[in-house]
Amino acid sequence: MSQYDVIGTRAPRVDAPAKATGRAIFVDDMSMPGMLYGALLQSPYAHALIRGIDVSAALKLPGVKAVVTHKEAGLVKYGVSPARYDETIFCYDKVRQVGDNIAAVAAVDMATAVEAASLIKVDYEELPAVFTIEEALADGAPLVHDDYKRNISAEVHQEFGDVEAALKECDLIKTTSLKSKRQDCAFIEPQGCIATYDLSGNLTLYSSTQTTHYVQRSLAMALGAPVGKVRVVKPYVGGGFGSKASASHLEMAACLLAMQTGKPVKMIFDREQVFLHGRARHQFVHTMTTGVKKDGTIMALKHEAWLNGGAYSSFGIATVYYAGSLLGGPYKLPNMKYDGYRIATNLPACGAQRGHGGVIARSCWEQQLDMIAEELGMDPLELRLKNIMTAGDVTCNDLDMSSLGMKECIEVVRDASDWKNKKGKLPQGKGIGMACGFFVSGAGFPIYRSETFHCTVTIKVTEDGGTAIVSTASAEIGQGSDTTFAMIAAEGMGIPLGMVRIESGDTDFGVDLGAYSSRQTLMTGQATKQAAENVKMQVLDALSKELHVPVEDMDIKKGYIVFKKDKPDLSALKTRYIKEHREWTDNPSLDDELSFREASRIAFFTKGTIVGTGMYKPPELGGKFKGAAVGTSPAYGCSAQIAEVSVDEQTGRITIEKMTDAHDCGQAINRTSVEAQMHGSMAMGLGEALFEEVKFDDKGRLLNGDLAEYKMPTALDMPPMEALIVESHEPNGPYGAKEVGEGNIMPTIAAVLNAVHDAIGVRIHELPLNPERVYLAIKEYREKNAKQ
Amino acid sequence: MKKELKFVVNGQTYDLWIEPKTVLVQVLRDELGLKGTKRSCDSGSCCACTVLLNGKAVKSCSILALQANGKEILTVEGLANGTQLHPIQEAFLDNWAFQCGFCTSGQMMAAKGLLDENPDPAREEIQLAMDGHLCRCTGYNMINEAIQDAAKRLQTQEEQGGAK
Amino acid sequence: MKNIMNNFEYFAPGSLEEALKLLSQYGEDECKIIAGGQSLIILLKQGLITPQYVIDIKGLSELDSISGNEKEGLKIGALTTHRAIEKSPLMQNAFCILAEMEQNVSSVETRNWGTIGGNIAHGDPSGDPAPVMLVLNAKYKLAGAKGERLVEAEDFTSGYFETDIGHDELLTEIQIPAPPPRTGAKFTKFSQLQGDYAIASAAVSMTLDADKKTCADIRIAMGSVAPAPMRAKKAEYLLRGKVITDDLLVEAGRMASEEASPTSDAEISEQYKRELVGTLVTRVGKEAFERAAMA
Repeated sequence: MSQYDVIGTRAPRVDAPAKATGRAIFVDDMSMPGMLYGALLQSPYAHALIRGIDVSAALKLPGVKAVVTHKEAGLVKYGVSPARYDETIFCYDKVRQVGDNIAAVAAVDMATAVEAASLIKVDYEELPAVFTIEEALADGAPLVHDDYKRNISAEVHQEFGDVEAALKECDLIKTTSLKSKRQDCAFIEPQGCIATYDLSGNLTLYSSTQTTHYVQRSLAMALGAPVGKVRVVKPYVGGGFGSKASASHLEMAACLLAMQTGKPVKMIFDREQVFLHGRARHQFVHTMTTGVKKDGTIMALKHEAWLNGGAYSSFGIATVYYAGSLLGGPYKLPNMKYDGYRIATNLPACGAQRGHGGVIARSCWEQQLDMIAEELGMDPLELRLKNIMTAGDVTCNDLDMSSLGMKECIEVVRDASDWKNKKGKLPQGKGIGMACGFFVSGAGFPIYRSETFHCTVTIKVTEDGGTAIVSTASAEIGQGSDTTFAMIAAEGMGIPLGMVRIESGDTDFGVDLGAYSSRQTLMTGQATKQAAENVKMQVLDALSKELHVPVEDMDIKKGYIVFKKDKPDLSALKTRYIKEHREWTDNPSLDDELSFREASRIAFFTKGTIVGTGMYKPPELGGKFKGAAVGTSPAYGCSAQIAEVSVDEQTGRITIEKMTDAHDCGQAINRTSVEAQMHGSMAMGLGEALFEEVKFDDKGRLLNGDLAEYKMPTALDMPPMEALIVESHEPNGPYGAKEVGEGNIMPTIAAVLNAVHDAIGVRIHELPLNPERVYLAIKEYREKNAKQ
Repeated sequence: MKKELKFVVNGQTYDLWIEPKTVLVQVLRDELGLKGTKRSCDSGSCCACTVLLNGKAVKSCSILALQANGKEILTVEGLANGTQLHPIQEAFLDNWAFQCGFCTSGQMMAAKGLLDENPDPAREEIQLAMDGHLCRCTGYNMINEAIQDAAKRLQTQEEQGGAK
Repeated sequence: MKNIMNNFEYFAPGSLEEALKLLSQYGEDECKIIAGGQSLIILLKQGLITPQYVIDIKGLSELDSISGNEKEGLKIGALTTHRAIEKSPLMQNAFCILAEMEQNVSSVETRNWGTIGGNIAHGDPSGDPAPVMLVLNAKYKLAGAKGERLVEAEDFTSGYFETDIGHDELLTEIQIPAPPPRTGAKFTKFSQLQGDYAIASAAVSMTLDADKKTCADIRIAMGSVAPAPMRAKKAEYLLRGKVITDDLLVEAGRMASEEASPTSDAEISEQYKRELVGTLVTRVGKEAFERAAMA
C-alpha cells in the first residue's frame, strides 16, 4: 500500500478533456477585436552589412498600420546569459544569419502584412560568411561578432584531479570521437503570439512559450518597460523541448507593434521560420580519452568539445558547460579534464534542446566505454556496474547524487531485455546495446544572477471549501506539469484530485522560471507542496479553535478530517454548516465525518479566503570553481537503456526492434506521465540517432526547413518501448520526486551505436546513422578487413 | 472571383462564398471558427489538419475548399455526442495518447477513419494507417495503444447495441 | 511555409466533355488541372506555379472506376484514388503488385484523396506508381479535343516533371494488359524513413518458361534514379532466356545499377543511390521470380 492517496497513481491528465475534444486553446486559435497581423522581414543573406532600410513602399500599402525597424525598437542588447547579451530586437549594422530580423509590419490581415514586408527595401553589402567550425576558426576568418575573437563565443577549461598523472597509471587508454549534426526541436505547434497594449501602459503578451518569466524580463528590458507593466500569459503550448525557452524576435516585434498601434497584434512563425529561429540542439564534435585499469576501473577522462553555435549566443554558454559537466557521473571518475569551445558561425543560432548540452557528449563516452569493455574482455554492462555511483556520492566536479538508482536501472533493463542471453549472441545483423545517463532536476541558479525564488505558488480555497485553486506561473507545455502540481496539491491538502483546479503559465500568478532544465516537478512541486500544506494548516488551525482539538492531533486525508485521538463532538459544527447550506443541493451527508469542504467553510468564517503560499529556491549548491553553477542541481534523475536493432547490411538501414528503458525519477508523482516522458525522450533520441539533421546550402540557406524534408520518426519508425520506473527517494524533492523529462534522452543514441556494433561489428563516429552513412561505414570496414 | 461552397460540416449545412485559392483548413478555422483542426506544417507533411471527408481521412491543408463542395466533413468538434465523448476520445484520454495535444485532433480523426474501415486493426496496421501523423511528444506507442483500446470500446458499444 | 497562393479562376466541369472544352479554351494559357491536388497545392502555396485558371476534374466520376480481370487486363480510370486501388478486390495475383505499391504511397490521407492519374501526370521521378506501370506494360489513354490516343507508359515521361500530355489533353485511363501465364511481379522502394518518398525504387515483372526456372520475359523498372522512371534493359537482356539463379540476379542488379543515372541531392549521394537501386533490383527480381514460379 502506498503511503499516498493521489501521488503514485495513474490519474488522467487534468487537461485531457480539453485536448481530447479539440477545445484546448493554443495561441493560433485566439483572436481579439481589432486585431492586426504582423509579419517579419528576415535576411536572405547569412552575413551582410546593412547600408540602408527603406520602408516607405511598405507604409504606403493600404491596410498597413505600422512598420518597425531598429529605429523604433532601439538597440538594447538582450539574450539569454547576461554575460553574452548579443542580440537586438532588429539588426542595425549587419545581419549574421539567414533569417536575421530586419523589420516587422502590422497590417489588417496576414497577406497584407507579408506583402508589405516584401516591399521593404534593404541595401545589403554581402560579407564573406563562416558556416563550419573549421571555417570560423581559420586564420583571417570573418568575425560573426567583433567581440568574439577567433569566433569563439564561449570557452571552458576545467580540470578536476590530475588527469595526466592518472592516465600514467592506466592499463588501457582509449581515444575516440563523435560528431553530431544540428537537430531541431520540431514541435508540432510553431511559435506564435498575440501582444496587446492598453492605454494605461500595460503590455500583455499571449505566447507559445516555455518560460513566461524570462520572456517577461526580456521584454521589459529590451522595450524599456517596468517588469510590473509586462504580463506574459501562456495558453496551451504545442511542445517546446528547449526552443521556446527564451524570448524570441517574434515576441519582441509583436509587442513593439502593439505599442505602436495600440491594437492587438498576432504573429505566427511559419515552419521555415521555426527552423530559422533555431535555438535547438547545437552541432557537437567531441574527442575523448579515457584511461582505465585492467579490471575496468575508470581512472580519468580527458575531453575536448567543439560546438557550432550559430549567429547568437542564446543558451550557448550553459550548453558548452553542460557538455563537460554532465560527464562527472554516473560512474566514479576521480579525474576529469574538459576543454570546450562554442563557435559562432553565420547559421541560425543554436540553444537548448532536451538533454541540454549533454546528449552527444554522453553518446560519445558511452560508445567509448563499450569499446573499452570489449578490449578488456568485459561485458559492457558489468563495466558500468563496476564503476557505478550510488546515492550520496559526489562527482569530481561537485555534483551531489543525493539519490541515485543508477545501479537498479541497469539491473532492471538487463533483466527485462534478457541481456545476458542476447549480448554477443544474436545472429549477424542483429544487435543489442546499452548505455546510461543522468540529468539535472533543475538548475541550481536562475539564468540571471539573482536571489529570486525560482517559483512561488499560491493555493486559494473557494468560499464553499469545495475547490482549491492552484495558481502557478509554471509552464504546462505538454509534459504534464499541471497534472503533476494538481496531484501534489491534492496530496498536500489531503483532498481528492477532483477538488483541485489549476491555473498556470501567467506571470500574474507569481514567479516561476518555467519549463527548462527539468526543473518544474522538483522546484514548482516543492512550492506547491508547501502551499498545500499551508492551506491544510490554516484549515486545521481554524478547526482547532472551533473544536478545541490541538492541530497536531488532526490531519486531512482523502477529503476528510482525521482525528488522531478521540473524535470530538461535531454536532454544533455540523448544524452550523447545514444552516449555511439550507438551499444548497450539495450538502455533505450527515454522518459523523467532517469533510475538508465543511472544515474549509468553517475556516472561511474566521479567516476569510484561505490562501496558502509556497516558494522554493535551491540551497547553495556545488563547487566554487568557475562554471560550477552549470550542472549543479538539487537532484539528478538517471536512466539506463537497451536498444535492440537489426541492420540491413546491403542497404545500411537500421531498424530499431525494441527499446527497454529504466529511469529513476525518485517518487513517481504520476506513473503514466513518467512513462510518457520516457517514451517521448526515446523518440527524440532515436530521431537524432537515425535521421535528424538540419541542412544548409553553401550560402547558409536552409535545405530542409520543412517537416517533409526534415526527417523525424513517424509511427512506423518507432519500436515498442518498455518504460520501467525505478523509484528512489530524493530527499530534496517533493515527496521524493525528481526529473524524468531529459535524463531519459541521454542514453538513447549510445545504446543504438552500441547495438549497431553488436549487430555488424562496425563502430560509427558520426551521426545520424542514416542508411547511407551506415552503408558506407560497412563498406569501409569490409575494405579495411579485407586488406588485413 | 468568389465561388459558392455548399457543404455539411459536423451535420450542419453551410453556404459560403470563398476565394477559389482557399484551402479547406482555412474555411474550417477562419470562416467557421472550428479551431480544433490544427495548422502545423501547412504543406501536407504532418497530418495535424486531418478531417474526415465523406468518411475518409484527408489533409485539410491540401484540399481546395471548393473541392469539398457537396461533401460532408467531420472535424474533431463533431466527434463527441454532446457531452458524451466518442470512444476514440475516451481511449485517447485514458491512454495518455497525447501530451501537448496539438496533433491530437488529426490523430483522432485518422483513428476514426481507420476504425470505421477496420474495426480490429493490428499494431502494424495502425502504424501504417497513422504513419503520416507527426507527433513529437509521445513516441507514438501510447497513441497506438489508445487506438487498440478504442477498437475494443467500439466493439463493446456495438455489442451492447449502442449508437455509433 | 508561407502560403502565398495566387488567386485564380476556378472551373469544376461536370463532364469529361466539358473539361476538354475548357482545356481547349484555356489550355494554352496559364492553366492547371487539379485532381486530388496532393502535389499541386504545395506548389501553389509556395508560389512555384501561379496559374490564372484551374480546372478541377476531381468530380468527374466517369473517370473514377476500375474494371477488368486477369484475363482481359485492367482499366483504371485516372481519377481512381490510390486508396481505391490499394483496397480493390481486382488486385489479385499478378496485379497485387499494384496494391502493394499503393499501400506505401505517402500517407492514408494522401491516398484517400490523391488520384493515380494525378500522380502519373505530375511526372515526379520519385513517384511510386510509374515504375510499376512500366513493368506491367501499361498504356495511358489521353483525351483531347481532337480525340483519344494511347501512349506507352515507357514513352510517357520524358524528364523531370515532363510528360507527353499536350496542353489540351487529359490523362483519362490506365490500361494494363493481361499478364502471360507464369508471371510474377514485385515492387519495392527504399526511403529515409519508413513510408517516406523513395530514394530509389525498383519493380520487376518476370514471366517464366514452362520449366518454371527459365526467364521467358522480364521487365525491370527503376524510380528516383533518373530524370524519369526507366527500364533497366541491359539487366533485362542478361536475364531473358536464362535459368534464374541468385548469382544471376546479383549480376542483373549490378548491371541495373550501372544503367541508372541518379544525381546527388541534399539527402543522398549519387553513388549510394546507384548501389542501392542495384540491391533493390536483385531483391525484387528474386521475389518476382518466386512469384512467377508459384503463379
